[in-house]
Amino acid sequence: MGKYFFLFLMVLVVVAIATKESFVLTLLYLLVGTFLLGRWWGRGALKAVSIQRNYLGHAFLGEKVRVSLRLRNTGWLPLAWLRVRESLPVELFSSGPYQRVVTASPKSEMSLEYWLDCRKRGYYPLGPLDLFSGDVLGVGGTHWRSEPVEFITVYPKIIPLRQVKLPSQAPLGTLRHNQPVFEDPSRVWGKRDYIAGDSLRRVDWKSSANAGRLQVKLFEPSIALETAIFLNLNAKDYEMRTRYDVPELAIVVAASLASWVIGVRQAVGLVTNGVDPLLGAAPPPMPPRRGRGHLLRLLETLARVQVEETFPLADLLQRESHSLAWGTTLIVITNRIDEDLFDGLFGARRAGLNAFLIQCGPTINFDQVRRRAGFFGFPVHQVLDERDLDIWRK
Amino acid sequence: MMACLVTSLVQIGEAVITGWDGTYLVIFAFLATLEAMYSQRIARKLLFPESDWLLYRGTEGVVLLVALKLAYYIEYGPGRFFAELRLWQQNFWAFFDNEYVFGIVIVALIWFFGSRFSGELLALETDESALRIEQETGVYEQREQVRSSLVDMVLSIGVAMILLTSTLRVDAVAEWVRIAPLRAGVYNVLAYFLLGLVLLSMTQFNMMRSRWILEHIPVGKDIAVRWFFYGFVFIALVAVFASLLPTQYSVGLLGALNFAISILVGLLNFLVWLLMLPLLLLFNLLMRLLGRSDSSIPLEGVRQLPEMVAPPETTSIPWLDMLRSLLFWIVFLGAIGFSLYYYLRERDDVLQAVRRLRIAGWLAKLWVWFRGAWRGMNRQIGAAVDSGWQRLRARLGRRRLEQAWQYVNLRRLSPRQRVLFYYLAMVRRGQETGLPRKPGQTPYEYSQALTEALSVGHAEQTRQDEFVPPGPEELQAVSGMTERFVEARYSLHEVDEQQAGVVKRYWERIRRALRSAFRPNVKE
Repeated sequence: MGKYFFLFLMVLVVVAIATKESFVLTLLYLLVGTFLLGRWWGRGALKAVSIQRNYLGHAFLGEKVRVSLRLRNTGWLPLAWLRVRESLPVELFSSGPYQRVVTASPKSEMSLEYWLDCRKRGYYPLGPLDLFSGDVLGVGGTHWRSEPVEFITVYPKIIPLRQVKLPSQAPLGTLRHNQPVFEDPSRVWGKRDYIAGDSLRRVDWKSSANAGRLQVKLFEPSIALETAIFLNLNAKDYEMRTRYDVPELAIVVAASLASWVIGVRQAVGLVTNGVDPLLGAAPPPMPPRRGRGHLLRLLETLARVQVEETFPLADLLQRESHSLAWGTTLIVITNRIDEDLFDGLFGARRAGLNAFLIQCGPTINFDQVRRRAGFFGFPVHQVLDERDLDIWRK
Repeated sequence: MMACLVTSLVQIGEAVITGWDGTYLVIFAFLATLEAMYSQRIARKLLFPESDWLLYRGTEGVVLLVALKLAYYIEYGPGRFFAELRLWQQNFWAFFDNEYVFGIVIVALIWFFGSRFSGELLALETDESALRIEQETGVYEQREQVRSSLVDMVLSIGVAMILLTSTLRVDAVAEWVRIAPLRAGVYNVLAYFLLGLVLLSMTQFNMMRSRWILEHIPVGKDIAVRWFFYGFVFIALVAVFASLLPTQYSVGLLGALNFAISILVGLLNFLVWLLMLPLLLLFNLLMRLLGRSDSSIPLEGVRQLPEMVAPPETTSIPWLDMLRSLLFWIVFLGAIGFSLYYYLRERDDVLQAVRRLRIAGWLAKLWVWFRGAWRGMNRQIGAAVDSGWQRLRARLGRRRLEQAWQYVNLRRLSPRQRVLFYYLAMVRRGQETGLPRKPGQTPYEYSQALTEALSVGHAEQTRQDEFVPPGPEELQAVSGMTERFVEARYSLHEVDEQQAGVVKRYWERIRRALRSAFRPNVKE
């Protein structure tokens, strides 16, 4: 309003008192009124603005998410100008913050929208959303208000797998198996003549009556593939030059395997030593469960979890393997495989768990690892990039 | 705006030279301003003090001087030109007569201000190519400073106009300067400031728009149109508001304060009188009963509001004048307070100097004390009003319930409800006669207490041999009523009309017994 505005007002006051001229008083009222109205207008108009974000809070990698900002001027004061600025993560919106300048009549509504390109998995804040406004003369200055942040989760990439040969010894599942030890009495696939020594419980009396001789049922073997994925995101176990790419690859492998296991209607859990930024610590272990709902929760954890210097995977294995059911398959995804890990896996196997090692990223001693794993009897698979998962896509 | 300024100057000229009409100068000055703004655009491409610039400006000056003279002769007619032509031949300096020199001064002044304004406005332009150049070169125009300087210029010119116009309207000053007092010169000043507000709005828009373009922020298409519309509404609102406020007062500040205080005191008096009225009435009644009517306190009725002293030269409605004067002082003092407050806020050095004064410390302490007292008083009044209101609501609520009780239609009640009604009527009647049921008493305990009280009362009454004592049927009715009540209240089996009829008879006996056992013994 100029450096000397208030000094000018004081001069007007003095002139008004000295001369008692009506027009001087009118001028004084005009200028004071302008200032007061300007301040009140700007502040009052901005207070009456309500804004709402509408968007899907979860998206898969590669999707485009539409975010709609619904602006409503609920008051009777118009907004000559309103600047909307929304801070957005650069991973989803490369053009910097989203900004627009609009004008709003009293009791009006409008909608602004922008698109997010979900190029990278993660848990991203949308906002804060800043609103700026002022009066037409600029006497009241610029007023500012901020709306709280909301979040969007981008799930990690999932590579569709078709056939993953994971070891399992959990009986009575729904997956076919060829070990006769795992015969499932609920799955009858045929009948044969009775042989001395067959249990009478296996006799099919109806068929026997029809055939005129004793017939016994043949049961199909089956297994349950209860799986627990142990994902190593301890930064110390990854080389510096691959500390960004390889953990991401490990997360993609974990997500793909979890999705496949859920797809074949089996139970899967997740245990990781990465850091969840929402908690500031490692996420609590997710026990094996079935269902798409559980898969989504798992994917949400995988979306958020980050590589940090935490604790070794072997410690996690020792701590969490006790709570797993006998026959559970452990899928251990890591870059560095050392003796501590082998000891942990061996201990787990002695407890009735099956281990499957997936070594992500390049390593100089993979042959040694393979030999050592062979000695213990753990299958091991190396995944240098996503193409190495193709063997499970056939 | 420049035309408004010229109008003030011309009016001064017209006051100095009686009979002179300077309207043509106003029109010429307006055109000169337009020329100055246009030439500024061209001249800024030239460098000062190079020959191109000097030539351009020199030519411009000469053209303006000649055009002014032409305007002079257009106003006065070609005859004047031929008459003066002969004078120039004799004395060239006659070309520059007083009026012409006066015109040159005005035009030069206007041209100067016009160029300055134009320079500032050009800096605030939102030409996209210019903005692009700023971005590429990294040299940005300091638009906020430019606008601030523009506002200061507008205000400075405005102050000069106000000082000039208002002082020359004072008769004593006009006489001292030996000119006729100015009677006009007001509307152009007001117009100047209104146009100044319009300029303020437009420059604000330009400045904001430049900023948005530089920051690559997409701007809505209708924002310019809406901006100017809302700006017009804003200025119109303020102008109407300013024009409606009082600028004259009939009563001085002290008189108005005195009146306001007397109104407050009058109201307080009235409230006190209202609160004291029941006591006064009671006292007077007592005095009358005692046969001492002469000692009773006269009730003056509603107090009158303080008498208004009719100010001199007022309309026939003195209260309107008083109100207008009061409003004037409130608004005027408010405007002074507001100006002072914001002036000190902007000038920290002045504020610090004021704070160091001893009287400022005392005033600050006084203010803190006053504020604390005011808040405390507000809190206490609020608490008192709140508690009074709560009590009133509770009482009204109870009365409503009691009234609801009185309007029960027995015929509409079921037999069970009638049994309950009669029992509760017994409890209520017992309470009225001084035998309330205690909250912890069961129906049987109350029945026993009531029976005992009736027997005792019966014993007292029989000593005085005044009333028919309650008989054993009445006493048995109490226990019978209680039995039926408990059955109706807590059992699930049906209560028929016969049982309700029995309970009604019990109630009639109990009512007689209570009435006769506890009637006051009044002797004539």
